[in-house]
Amino acid sequence: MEDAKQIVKLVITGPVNAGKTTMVQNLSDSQVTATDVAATDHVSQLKSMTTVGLDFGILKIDETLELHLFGTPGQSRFNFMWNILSKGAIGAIFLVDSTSDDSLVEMTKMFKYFQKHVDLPVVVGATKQDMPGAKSIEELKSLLNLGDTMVIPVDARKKEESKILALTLLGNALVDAQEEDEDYEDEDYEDLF
Amino acid sequence: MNTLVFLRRMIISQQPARVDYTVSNQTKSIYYDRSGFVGTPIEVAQALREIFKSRAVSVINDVDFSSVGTLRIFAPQAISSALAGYKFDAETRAVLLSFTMRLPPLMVRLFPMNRYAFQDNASYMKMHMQFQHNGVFRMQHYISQADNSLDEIVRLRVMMATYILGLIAPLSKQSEKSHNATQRVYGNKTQKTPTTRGKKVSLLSKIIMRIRGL
Repeated sequence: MEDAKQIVKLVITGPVNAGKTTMVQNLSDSQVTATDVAATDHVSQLKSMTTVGLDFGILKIDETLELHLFGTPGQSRFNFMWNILSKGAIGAIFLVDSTSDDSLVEMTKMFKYFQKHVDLPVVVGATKQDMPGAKSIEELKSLLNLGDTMVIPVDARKKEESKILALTLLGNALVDAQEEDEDYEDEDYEDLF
Repeated sequence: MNTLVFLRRMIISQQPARVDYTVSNQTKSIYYDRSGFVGTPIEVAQALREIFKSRAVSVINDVDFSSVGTLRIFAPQAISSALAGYKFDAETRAVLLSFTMRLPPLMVRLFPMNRYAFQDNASYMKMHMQFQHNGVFRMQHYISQADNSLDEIVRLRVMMATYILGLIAPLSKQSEKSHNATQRVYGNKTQKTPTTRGKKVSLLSKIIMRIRGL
């Protein structure tokens, strides 16, 4: 009998206009399902289209494993979605627009909720670092009260940078998992030693 | 990173060998025996740097040493010289980080690398102190705790030197378990079944490899 396909989730979240949809597209190898519509509220001043549902992409890992990428809507009023999204997720990437004070305020709310309600490895990507008025990584860490959470500058439009951010998150998650894993076998490392 | 694996095995076995490697479509060789690498310090350091970057490396053990020179550079000296100020491009960095991710919990041996002018000796000493303090050393933590990109380069160089020279080795499961058992008494960690943990590591490793290849 054929083995059931295993699905794990990676959540990409953060305030409006930070690059979440683009990052989902960069990390997916399938056609991304986007739920962008014309923005009508204050978001329309930032961009013409915004995500109202979920961006969704699939990265096929092998025949038995798929990574499903979810890009969430960028408003803190959608925080309730974490209850569903965090089930079976391996981590979360927060993206924040380094140039926008509104983005920082929204991010603070979203991250506070995340820290209180969600137990997942997390990394923060600071986008638009090349734009005038962008806050430095140190400023962002301090303003957002991120504690030990890693903040990495990222240009979400560039695939390589999206990959590095995802790999950082997954690398940290792997270290944590290895740390918990006392069940490793010496044979697993025979090719290295 | 097979290059490091080959060098480590060759140095630890201390058997006469020849390393053949390809750089810019040209095949070169360097000889090694128990006394060290054959050549002048500059030649050996240059060859080792080329080997670090080479994608095609092989070690031949059945070697005729009759025609090679008599000058030898002791392995710790040779590795120290090759790594002095050594920097790498983004691709090599990615390969080294990927290699680091695969290393198991380690023990760190103390060796007087300062005698061989190892420039990153202070960082190596800190690594050994971490091992002594925790009873286990995790290279992944050590590298990820770098303060900045320059510090990361130093730490990766230390990883290369200690790995190649056999100064790090897998910690025996028994000793790590006894250390973890002590931590658990005080740590009050949430316990998960070993199967779930092993599965998570395997799953994450697969995803990392896939994303790297995108």
